[in-house]
Amino acid sequence: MRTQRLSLIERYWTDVALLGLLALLYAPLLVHWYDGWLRKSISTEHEYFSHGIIGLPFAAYLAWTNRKRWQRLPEDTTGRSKLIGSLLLLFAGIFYLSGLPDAVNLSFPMMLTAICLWLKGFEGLKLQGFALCLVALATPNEIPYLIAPYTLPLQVFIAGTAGFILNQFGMNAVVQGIYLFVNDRIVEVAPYCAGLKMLFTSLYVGLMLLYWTGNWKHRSFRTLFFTATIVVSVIANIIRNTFLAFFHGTGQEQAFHWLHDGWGGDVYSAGMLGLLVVLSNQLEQFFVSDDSSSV
Amino acid sequence: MLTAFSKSLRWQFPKVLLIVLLAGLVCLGTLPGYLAGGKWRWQAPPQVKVLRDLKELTKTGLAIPGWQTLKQKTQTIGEHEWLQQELSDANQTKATLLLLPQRGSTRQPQVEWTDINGFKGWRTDSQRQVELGSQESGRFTVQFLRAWTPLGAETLSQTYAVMQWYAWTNGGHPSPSRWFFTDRFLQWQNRRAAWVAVSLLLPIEPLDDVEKYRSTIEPLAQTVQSTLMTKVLRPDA
Repeated sequence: MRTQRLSLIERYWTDVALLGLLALLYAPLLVHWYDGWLRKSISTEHEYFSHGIIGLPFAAYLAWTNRKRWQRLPEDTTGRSKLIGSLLLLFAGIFYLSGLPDAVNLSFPMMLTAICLWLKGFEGLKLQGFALCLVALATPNEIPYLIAPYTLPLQVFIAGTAGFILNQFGMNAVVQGIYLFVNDRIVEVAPYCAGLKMLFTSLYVGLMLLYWTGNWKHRSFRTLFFTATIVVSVIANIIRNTFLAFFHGTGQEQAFHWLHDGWGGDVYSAGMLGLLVVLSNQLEQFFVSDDSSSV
Repeated sequence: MLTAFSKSLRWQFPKVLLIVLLAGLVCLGTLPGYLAGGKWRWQAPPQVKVLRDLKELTKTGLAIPGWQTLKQKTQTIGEHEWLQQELSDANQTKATLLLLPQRGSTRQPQVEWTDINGFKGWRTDSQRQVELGSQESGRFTVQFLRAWTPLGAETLSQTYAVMQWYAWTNGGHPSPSRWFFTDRFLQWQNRRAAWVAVSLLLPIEPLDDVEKYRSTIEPLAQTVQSTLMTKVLRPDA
């Protein structure tokens, strides 16, 4: 009994220490991220990565289910992965110590990748690749800020289409660039209304769905699913913007705020993500029947 | 037990080394935060030290050497309050200066030019980038364009020669991404690129060639930049 307990400590103390240290390093940061996502208290750019709310626990779950295979992987003895791992570790350390928001955020996926490389080499990286990918794609950064100036054509397109739809319903809507004049009230399709956030979230959740259902392996399924996701996301966003312009133009301020920054927006997001599950199921049926017919 | 322990140490050397490194990182980078009761440096970027001067600027306006301010008011454009100054020089040349100083440490320049276009209902063309300034005072780039409001088939509203840029210490550029990389680079030295969005409007003949007015508007743009740098965007700040 005594010896068994000793060997248990012997076997696992390093893992426990490693996980404990990682928790000490990054728990405050993750709390900060979640706080920013749930209370929308950091910045618009930060909210672009709110898919991390489900993505990060899913990544942790995947890493946990991989633990037996991880243990069985041989210690890495090649110099190359150690070198890359230690370089990455060095940069992650510098970024962490800098105390700058962007750099500290970025240090999280870097650190995790470095540890995988350092301990189990490229095989280890491959094993945890998808989980690491989910973490990296949920790490808040300033890319949304940098691409915002380039979404202008998309904004113009959305404004134009929304104006067209409103005109079909007999409303007096005039489009001028990214501005929609509905009953002489002005609605602006701002860069952050271009629907990129919902698009990113949809693609991220789509990625998780593909992995979960195992459809990841079919290349044509992947392509078709992501294309459909993009199309559905853009159409849904045009409909959303049309409703926003309609509410604003007809003076229904409450309804406007409900959909724009109230829980109506969350309902819209949930509906959109639900649609992805339906889409995945429908495509699956299509592909399964296709498979059976070819057999 | 000790021998078993030391054996496991040798066997797990890379892992143990990693633990030591991470423990060092915790001591240097994380413990100060925990000891401060959960205050972390990464919660916000370094403070902009001239925020108060920038706020003052919106109240007092910018006195530009060689130019007289005839009228001054705040003007809401898009979601932000701009400072609008009507200027005139000794030759009775008229110009309008629009300024939007940074309001908070996390406020970043974004779509200020689109905001102005929308607010004025402008059509724009002849857009090009012009590099101004000198080696000593720092070079900066502005976008130079022609803007007018189409009113109808016969009537044409005022046409303007326009220069726009985000000004910061020893530099400036119309593109937000340029500001972004300058700022992020400075953050590593615990400094920031405090910014002021500048839009300079020179009334010209209807749909005239803006190039003819370059010699008038360029010196004014230079003066605005250098005045901003001596008054608010000081290099020591």
